Amino acid sequence: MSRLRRPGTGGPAGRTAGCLERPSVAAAVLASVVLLVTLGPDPVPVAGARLLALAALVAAAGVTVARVRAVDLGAAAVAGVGALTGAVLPAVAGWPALLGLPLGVVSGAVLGTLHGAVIGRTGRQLGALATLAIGVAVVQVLGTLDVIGGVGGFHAVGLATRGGDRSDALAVGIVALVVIVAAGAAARRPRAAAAAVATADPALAASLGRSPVVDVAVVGGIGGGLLGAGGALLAVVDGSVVPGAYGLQLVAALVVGASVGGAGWLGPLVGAALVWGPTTLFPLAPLVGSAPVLLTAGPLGLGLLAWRRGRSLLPPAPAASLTPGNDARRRRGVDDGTAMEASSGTSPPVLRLRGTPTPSGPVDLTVARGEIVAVTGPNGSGKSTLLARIGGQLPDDGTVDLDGRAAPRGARRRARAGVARSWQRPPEVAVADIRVTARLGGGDLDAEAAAADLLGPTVTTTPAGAQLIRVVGSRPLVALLDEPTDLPPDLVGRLVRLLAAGGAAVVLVDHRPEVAAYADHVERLGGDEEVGG
Amino acid sequence: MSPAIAAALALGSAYAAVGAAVAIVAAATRTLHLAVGPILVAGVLVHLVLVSPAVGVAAPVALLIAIGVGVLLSAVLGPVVLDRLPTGAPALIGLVVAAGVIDAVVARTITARPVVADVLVPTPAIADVDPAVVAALLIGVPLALGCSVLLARTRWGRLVRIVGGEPDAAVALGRSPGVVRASALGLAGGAAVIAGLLAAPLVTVSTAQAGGLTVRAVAAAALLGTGGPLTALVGGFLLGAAEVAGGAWWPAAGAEVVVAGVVVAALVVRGDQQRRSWGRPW
Repeated sequence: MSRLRRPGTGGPAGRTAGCLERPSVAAAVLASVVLLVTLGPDPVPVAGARLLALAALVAAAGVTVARVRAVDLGAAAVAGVGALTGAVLPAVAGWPALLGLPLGVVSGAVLGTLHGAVIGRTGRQLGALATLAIGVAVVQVLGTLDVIGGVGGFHAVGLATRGGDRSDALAVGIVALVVIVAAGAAARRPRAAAAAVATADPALAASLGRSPVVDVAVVGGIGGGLLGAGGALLAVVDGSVVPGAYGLQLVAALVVGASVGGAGWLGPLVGAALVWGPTTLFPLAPLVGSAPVLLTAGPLGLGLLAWRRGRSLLPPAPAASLTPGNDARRRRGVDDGTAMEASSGTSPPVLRLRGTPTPSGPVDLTVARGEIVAVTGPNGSGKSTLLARIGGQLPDDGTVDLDGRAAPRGARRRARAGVARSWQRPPEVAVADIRVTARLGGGDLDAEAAAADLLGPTVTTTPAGAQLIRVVGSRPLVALLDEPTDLPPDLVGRLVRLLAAGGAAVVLVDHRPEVAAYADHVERLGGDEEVGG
Repeated sequence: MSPAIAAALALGSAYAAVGAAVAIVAAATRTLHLAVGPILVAGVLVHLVLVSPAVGVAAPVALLIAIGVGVLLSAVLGPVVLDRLPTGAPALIGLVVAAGVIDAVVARTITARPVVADVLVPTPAIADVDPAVVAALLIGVPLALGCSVLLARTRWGRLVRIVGGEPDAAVALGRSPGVVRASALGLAGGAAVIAGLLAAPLVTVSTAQAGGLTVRAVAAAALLGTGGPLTALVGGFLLGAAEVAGGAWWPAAGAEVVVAGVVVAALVVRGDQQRRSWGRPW
C-alpha cells in the first residue's frame, strides 16, 4: 500500500524550509534573536525590540495574507484598533501595559472576524476591496477620537518594565515571540487549510461541506487578535499612536513582508527584516535611513515575489495532519459488507432525478447504491449542468431526491448529506489543503489509501488524481465525476468500480467509450438513451 | 438644485469616470486596479503644483502633464507587476505594494498642502449650479460613456475582452497581451487624473485620501456586478450620493463610514452572485 506523500517537502528547497520550520529549530532561532537583541550594545535593544514588534505584526498579517491567501487590506486598521485599545486605553486608565494586551487582542479579533467573514462571503478580490473600505473608515474614525493627543497622535503606555532598555527589550521580545509562534501555529491548523480552500475556490469549499464565511471568519479572527496584540506591542515600543499611520502604506508594508517571508515561524522575521531592516539597522544612512520603508522594500519585495512566482521565500509548514476515524462511514450508516453486496438490480435508488432541468431538456434518472451511470452527450448538452444541479452548485427546483427524500438545498448541505464531486478542471488550490479540508468533515484513510494504490504514486500527486482520491476518501453516498479526462480510461474505470464497490451511486460524465464501458447504464443527453455495460 | 444633490452628482460623475476605466482594466486583466487611488492623487497634486503661482505652468499644459503622469504610472504596472506575477493573490498584492510605493513617493516628493483646486475647465454656472458641478457632469459622464463605447464597439475594446478572457487567443491574432493590458491600465490612469481634478474642487485630494479614493474608484466598477463601464456609471452616482449623505450626517468621518457601509452591504448581500459573475479567477 503506497503512502500518501506529504506535500511541500518534495524538493531541496522544501526540505530546507521544512527543517527551518520544525518547532524546535524555529523556537531556537527565535529565542536566539531575542537574546541577541537584548544583549546587544545600545541602541540595538530598543531598535531590535521595535523590529520584533513589527515582525509580530507581519506574522499576524501572514495568517490571512500568506497562509489563507486572502488579501486583507484592513490589516493595518486592525493593528491600529489594537494599538488604541491595547496601549492608549491603558494609558488613559492608568493600567499596566500588559493588561492592555488582552484588550488589543479582543478588539483586533472582533474586527478581524468581520474582515474574514466579508472575504469568505465575497471572495478574494472583492474581499480586498471591502476590507480596504472598512480599514479606511476605521482609520478615519480613529482620527476623530480625542482621547489625549487628538488627531495628531495619542500617548501610549510606556514600555513594560522599569529596568532600562534591556529589560524592556526582553519583555517586548518575549511577547513578540509568543505572537509569532502563535501565528505560525495558527497557520498550521486544519482550519487555516479550509480557509485557504474557501478563499481560492468557494464552490469547492462548499462541495466539501464547508462554509467559506465561517472558515475564513474564524481564521480572520485569530489573525485579527494577533494583529491587535502586535499593534499594541508596537505602540508600547513607540510610546504613541498616530491613526494616520495605519493606512495604505502600512498595509502595503505588511502584505509585502508577509508574502515574501511566508506564514511559518521564521518567515515573519525575514519579511520584517526585508521591510524595516534597512531603516532600523542603518538609521543614519543618507537614503536608506530617511526614505519611506516602501521605497526600498516595495521594489525589492516585488522583485522577490516575481522571482518566486508569487510564492514566499520560506514555504509554510504543512498543515497539521488529522487522524480521522471512519466518521463518514458512521455518519451515513454505510457498512462495508452491505455496500459490497449492493447492485443496481436489487438496491433501492439512492439518487432520483424527476425532470431536472438541463439545456437538453428535463432529465429523469434513477441511480441505485453501487450503480455506475455514465452521462454522455455533445458539448453544451448540459452534462456538467446536470452534475451541478445534483451537487447543489446550481438550483434544482426540488427535482433531486437523495435516499428517498428531497435533497437539501445548497452545495454545502448536499455535501454533508453525502454527495461528493470532482471537477473537469481541477481547482487551482493546494492539493494538501483540499485533503486536510476534506478530512475535517470526516474522511476514510483506508479508502484514500486504496484509491492511491489504484492510481499509483505518479497520478496520486497530480491535482486530477488528488481530487478523485478525495472523492473516494469521503465515502460518498453519491459520487459525481465530471470528465476526469486527465486520467487514462482504465484508471477511471477501475476507480469508479472502487467507488461503486464502496456503496456509492456513481454518476460519471466522460466522452470516452472505453470509460463508458465500465458503466452499468449510459444516459445520453441531447439524444436517445443507450444501455451499455 | 440643492448644493448636496449637486455635490453628489458631481462626485458621482467623477467616480463614474474613473470607475468605467477601472472596469476596462478588469476586463483586460481580470484584476481590480487597487493602485488607482495613489495614481489619481499623484496626477492631481502634480497638476496643482504646476499651476500654482510658484511654478506658473499654463493650465492646459499642466493638465496634459498630469494626465501623462497618470497614464505612465498606471501603464507601467502592467509590465512591472501584472505581467510578472501570477493572477490571484500575488497580482493583487503586487498592485497594493505598488500603490504603497507610489503613495510614499508622492507623500515624500510633493509637499504641497491640500488646497481647494480650481475648476478643471472654465464653465458657466447653469441655473445657479456651481461651475465645478457643471464641469464634472459635462466631462465625467461622457468620459464614462466613452469608456463603454470603447470597450463594446471598437476593435481595441474587443481585443481587451479577448486578452481578459483568453490571452493565448490574442497571441494567436498576433497581438501582445502585455501591450493591451498596459494600454488599458494607462487609460485608467489618465481617467483617474481627470476624475481627480473634477472632484478636487469639492473634496480634499491628498495622499491621506489615497485609500478612500481607491475604494470609490474600484467600487464604482465592481459594486453592481460586471456590467462594465455602464454599471460603473450607476455605481459612481451611488457612491457620490453615499459620500455626500455621510458627510452631512457626520462631517468628520461620515463619508468614509457610509461609503464603506454601502460597499460592504452591496458586496455581501450579492456575495454569491458577485463571485459567480466576476468569474473563477477572482
